[in-house]
Amino acid sequence: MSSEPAGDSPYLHHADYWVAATEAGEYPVRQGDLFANVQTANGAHLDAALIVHPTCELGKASVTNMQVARVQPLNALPDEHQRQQVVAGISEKNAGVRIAFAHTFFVAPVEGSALHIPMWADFRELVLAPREQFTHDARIGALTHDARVTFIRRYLYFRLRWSLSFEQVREMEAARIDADPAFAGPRPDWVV
Amino acid sequence: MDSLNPTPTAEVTHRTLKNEQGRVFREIEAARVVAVRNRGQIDGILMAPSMFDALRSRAADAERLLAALPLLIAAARSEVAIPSETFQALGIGGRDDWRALNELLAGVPVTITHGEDGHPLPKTSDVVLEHIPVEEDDEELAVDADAATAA
Repeated sequence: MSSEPAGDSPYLHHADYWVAATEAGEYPVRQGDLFANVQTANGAHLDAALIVHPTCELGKASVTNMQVARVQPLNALPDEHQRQQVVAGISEKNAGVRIAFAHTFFVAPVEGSALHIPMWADFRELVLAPREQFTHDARIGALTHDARVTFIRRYLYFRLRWSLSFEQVREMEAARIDADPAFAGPRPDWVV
Repeated sequence: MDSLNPTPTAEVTHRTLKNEQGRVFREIEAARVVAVRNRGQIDGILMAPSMFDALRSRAADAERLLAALPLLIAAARSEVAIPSETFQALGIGGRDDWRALNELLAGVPVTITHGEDGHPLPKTSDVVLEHIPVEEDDEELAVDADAATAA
């Protein structure tokens, strides 16, 4: 069953972020998936990273490095007010609700994993990382199709300042998946 | 007098408006809101530009507040701390609990009115998006490694 945020809320309920571990094997590695202990192409180490690279590119032999966003624990932010803005993705100011820290994407904990903590991905910290480490077995969390819509929506706003609704992005994603003959794994129930 | 009270404090007739424009506009400046009466009925309101701007600004404030109210009310009821300057200014706190905050926002129909920089967001709900599938070319670039290194 699909889920969606209420109104314009940027994020889903934390329980709707990740495909259940028992079903994750059916889902190929995709944009938005979470990995721990990622080695970057220039030899640095990231405790965690989220794939930002377009899913359709991941299968191409010529793609040796993948673009990932650094993921950090929420408690890396010492300021309580900033933590709240990252979790909410919005803030209220002068009676208006505005987008907060557009370069962040709240990452819910993955239960039963090494990353069972609230986190956030930083779209300002995109790095290249050798692809061979991004395997099914190494994956900590497979993002649900619905959560990926929130990811794309957030990324669109950060990258292009396009403020599209969840429904608009989901509609485009549904059309894209429907037209993709190479789409693998279970389809979202909003694809006709 | 409340400077934003839109109640007319003076009246003119159609005939006066037509024949004594100069006097009427001076009256608007003084009275701020002037009713235009025709055959016993008020059929128009004239107001000073500053009054109009102030009312328009107040209407925008009300609209923003209306958009924020569901979130503020829900947060106050659940006693969950939310990122709100209004609450901060009023000294309204709450539990600093990421889980409760996430659950609150996943369930409250929030309306985002402004972008990160504080500018009003354009309305995109009426924009019709259409996905037109295109066949991709799988050809890869053939990069001359030596030339790339030399550059």
